[in-house]
Amino acid sequence: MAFDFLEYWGEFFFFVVLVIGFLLAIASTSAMLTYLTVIAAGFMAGRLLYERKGKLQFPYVIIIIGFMIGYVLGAYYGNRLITLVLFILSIAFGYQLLKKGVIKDIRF
Amino acid sequence: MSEMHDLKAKVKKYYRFTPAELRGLVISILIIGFIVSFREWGPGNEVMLSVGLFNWFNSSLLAALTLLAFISAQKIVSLQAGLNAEYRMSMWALSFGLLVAFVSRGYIWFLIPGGIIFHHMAGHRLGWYRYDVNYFALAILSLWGPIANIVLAIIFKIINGFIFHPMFQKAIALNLVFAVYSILPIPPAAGNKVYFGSRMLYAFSLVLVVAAAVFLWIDIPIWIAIGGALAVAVVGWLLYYTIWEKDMWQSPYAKMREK
Repeated sequence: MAFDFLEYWGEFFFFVVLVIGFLLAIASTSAMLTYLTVIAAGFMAGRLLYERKGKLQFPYVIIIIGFMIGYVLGAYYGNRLITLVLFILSIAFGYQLLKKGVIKDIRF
Repeated sequence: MSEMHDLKAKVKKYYRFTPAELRGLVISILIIGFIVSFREWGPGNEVMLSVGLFNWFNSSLLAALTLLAFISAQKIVSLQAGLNAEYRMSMWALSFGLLVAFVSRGYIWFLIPGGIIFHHMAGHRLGWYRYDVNYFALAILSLWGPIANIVLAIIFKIINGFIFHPMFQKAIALNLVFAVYSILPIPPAAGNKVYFGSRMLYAFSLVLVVAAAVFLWIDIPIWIAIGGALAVAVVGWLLYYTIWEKDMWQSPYAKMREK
C-alpha cells in the first residue's frame, strides 16, 4: 500500500523531527548547550503555534511533541526533566512574546 | 542606451540603505562572521581571544562583501524594474545559524541572515506590461542575489589563480555556500521567491547554483566550471519537466476537480 503523504504528513514529519531532535541532542557537548538549544527550539515551536493560531493546529502539536520526544531521548548531558520543562516553558514564553508584540515576525 | 542612463539616475537617487537596513546588515555581518570563524578561535580546543577576534574581524569583512554583493545586485536590478528592494534581517534565521554553529562545533554553516522585501515604486513602474508587483518578477529579481555571489566567487577564483592566499579561498567558500543557502526555498531566502514565482525557473536555477558551487570549488578551469554548470542546469531543468512538471497537469487537484 502506497504512503499517502497528503493524508499523513503530520505523522511523517513527527518522525522526521523526532530524528532531528535526537541528532541535535546527541550533538550537544554540554548541559548548557543542551538547555540553550532546547530553549531556542521551544521559541521556534512557540512561533509555529502562534502562526497557526485559529487555523489547523493539531498536526503541528504532534510534530512538536515528536521533536520533544526525540530531543529528550537524545539528551545525554543535562537533566532530562529540566530539558522537558525548559522546552515547554520556552514554547509558552515565545508564544506570549509574539502575542504581546515584543517579538515581531516579518513576512518574507 | 537610454535605459542605462535611466538606471544610472535611479541608482544615484534611490540606492541607499535605511537606518533599519543598516542595523540589520551590521548584525547579520557580525553573526555570519562569527559562524564562519567559529573554528578559528585558537589551536585545537584552546580559545585565544586575540586570535579569535582577529579571525572574526577578517570573516566579518568577507561576510560584509558577500552580503553587500548579494543585496546590491538585487537592489540595482529592482530599480531597473521600477521596484525598491529592502533588506530585512531575520532574527529567527540568524539564531538558528548560531545554534547550528554551536551544535556542530562550527562544521556546518547555516547562512540565511534575512530576506528582501520589494516595494512598488508607482511612478517608475509606469509603462510596464505587468504594472503591479507580481510573483514572476520577484523571482527574476531575487535570483540576481545568488548569481552575484557566484560571480564574486569566480572573481576571487581568478585572483586566487594569480595571488594565492587562504583569505581568497575562504571568500570563495563563503560566497559559494551563501549562494547555495540563498537558493533554498526557505522563506527568508531568495530561493523562496524564485520557487513561488516559477517552478521551472526554480528547477533551473537550483541546479545551476548548486552545480556552479561544486564545479567552482573543485580544481577545474573556470570556463569549464561555468559551461559545465550551465549544461547540468539545462539537463536538470529538462529532467524536472519530463519527470515531474509535465504530469502536474494531471495533479491530485486536477483529478479531484474532474470528479
